[in-house]
Amino acid sequence: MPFVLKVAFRYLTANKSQTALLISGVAVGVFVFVFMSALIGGLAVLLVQRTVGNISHITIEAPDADADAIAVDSHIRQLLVRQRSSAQRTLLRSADAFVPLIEAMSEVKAISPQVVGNGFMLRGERRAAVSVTGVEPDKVTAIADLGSRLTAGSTELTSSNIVLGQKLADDLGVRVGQVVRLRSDRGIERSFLVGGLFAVGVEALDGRAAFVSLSAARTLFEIPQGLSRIEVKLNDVYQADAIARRIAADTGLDATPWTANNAQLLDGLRAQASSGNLIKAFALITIVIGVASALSLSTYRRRPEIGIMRAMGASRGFVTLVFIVQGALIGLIGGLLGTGLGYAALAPFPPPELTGSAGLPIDVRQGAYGLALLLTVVAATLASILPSRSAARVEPVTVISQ
Amino acid sequence: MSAAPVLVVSDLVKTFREGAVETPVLKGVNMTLAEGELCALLGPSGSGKSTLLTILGTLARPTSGSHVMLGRDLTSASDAELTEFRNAHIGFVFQFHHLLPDFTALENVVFPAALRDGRETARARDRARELLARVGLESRVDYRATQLSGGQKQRVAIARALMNRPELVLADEPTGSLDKDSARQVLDLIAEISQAERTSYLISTHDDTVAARCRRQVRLDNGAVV
Repeated sequence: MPFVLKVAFRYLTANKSQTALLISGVAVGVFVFVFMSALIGGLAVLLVQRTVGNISHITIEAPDADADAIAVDSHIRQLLVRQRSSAQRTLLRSADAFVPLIEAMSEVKAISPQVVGNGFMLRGERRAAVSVTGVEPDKVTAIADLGSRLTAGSTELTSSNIVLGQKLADDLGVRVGQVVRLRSDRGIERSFLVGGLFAVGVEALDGRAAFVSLSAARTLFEIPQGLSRIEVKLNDVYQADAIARRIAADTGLDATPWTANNAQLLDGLRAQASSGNLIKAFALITIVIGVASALSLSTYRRRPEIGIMRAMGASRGFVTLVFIVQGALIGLIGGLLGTGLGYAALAPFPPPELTGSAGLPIDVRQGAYGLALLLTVVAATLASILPSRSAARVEPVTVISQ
Repeated sequence: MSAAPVLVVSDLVKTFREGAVETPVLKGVNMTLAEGELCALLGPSGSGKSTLLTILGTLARPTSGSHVMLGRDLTSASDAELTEFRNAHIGFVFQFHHLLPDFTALENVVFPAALRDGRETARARDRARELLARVGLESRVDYRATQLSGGQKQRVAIARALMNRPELVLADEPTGSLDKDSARQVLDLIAEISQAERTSYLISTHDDTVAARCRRQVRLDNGAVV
């Protein structure tokens, strides 16, 4: 064992209770760091999952054509354009070629080519405005997890059945197995058998959404070719911006990531992360102050011994290193203890995705254990620099003569 | 032909300054020490004995003059060079032993060699055991410094001073804190080792009994050898 390590270790074990207290203090600081990391990470997972779990992460649409300029007068800077008719639809005419390409991307979890449109649902005297989404029969649960949110029936789609939001069904007074009529904004009317009802907790879906098969939607909205949009779900929601840029570059289509429409959520997550980082920084500062003050006391108390060591031929570098190694050892042991305790305390928590409304959304995977350990060792080592430099400045002649 | 002296100091001056006040402590000390010589440094309190020892031990620098040991001029050496030189060639025995309390007798003795080697070697431990046996403490090898009596601590300090086979041992009142019997044992030991290892000793003392055991006496008065 290097001699400097032996001396540092001996000094640490010379006063076991004091060292144990110091290491406990460091461990508590590390525990706070780990806990805050897991909590802030878990909160982010929960919020993102609840916000974007049932929506498309990237929506691909045909680019809007520039409006036709009718008159331009450069002197008075006036531009006259023709407004596009709301009934005019922009279609992805060549989307079929891109679907396999996008589906093959490793970051993509699911893809749902869709034909969408508006209409009215009729049941006796009752009528309700609906937003109709035509999907491939096996893709009805690809974007929104309707399967686990079914209140009745199933998500299976055929050309003649329809899956509705529970609230919409309630408004119309229909149940699974009953027939409803759907009139599209093209004036085409068809009857469907209600196959399933869902409630995801989002008004826009539960009160307005109706899912039909892609072929039925083509008929309803007179779109025999092309698609209205392609919805994409990713394995990692935080990659949405990068993947959307890639898809747009590769296909020339408009690819909008979920982040574009959820700026407030992202701001909130950023603010939350900043608060967490502040608390973690304070935990580290506490560690630095604790280690620095303990080592300062130690160097003061050991001034005579340091003088003797210097008289025996210990260099200033050796003395410096003895106290820096002590700082590093305190950081390492306290860090290991803190991360270990942190993991043990956080492990029983369920994943944040499964956390109920009353529970703490702790994500044990986001404890940042390695980072906590590394920062603690670095912080404790840095904290020992000042005391160790002060120790190295001890002149043997002054302490020996005392 | 006589061997070259271990130590030669010429016109050694040490003046302490505190603000505008200058206090001359050594006023041109000249002395030599031969190999294996046992020399007493005598003088009243305030005569400059301790200051001279700290300069000879490279723990302090002279204000002027020459300090040559083993043919090397130490007045121009850097701090790091002096530290290394001290570790290799000079041993210290202090009045209050100054052992490291958290280390055993063996570890205290090994310390200078471990500083030199960067670790405790088996060879150094063997030498430390041999030295502790020589000072009669083979049964106290694993005792902590705090578990030893005053005389035992001073004997451990002598063993530690000899660990790296220094050419010069500087002892500052080595028997000052000991009872009569312990003091006699320590002096016997110093005389024996000086003879056997050809180590030079400069012993600062007020005690005429100690001075009488040395072959030569150097008297310091008011900062100069008289």
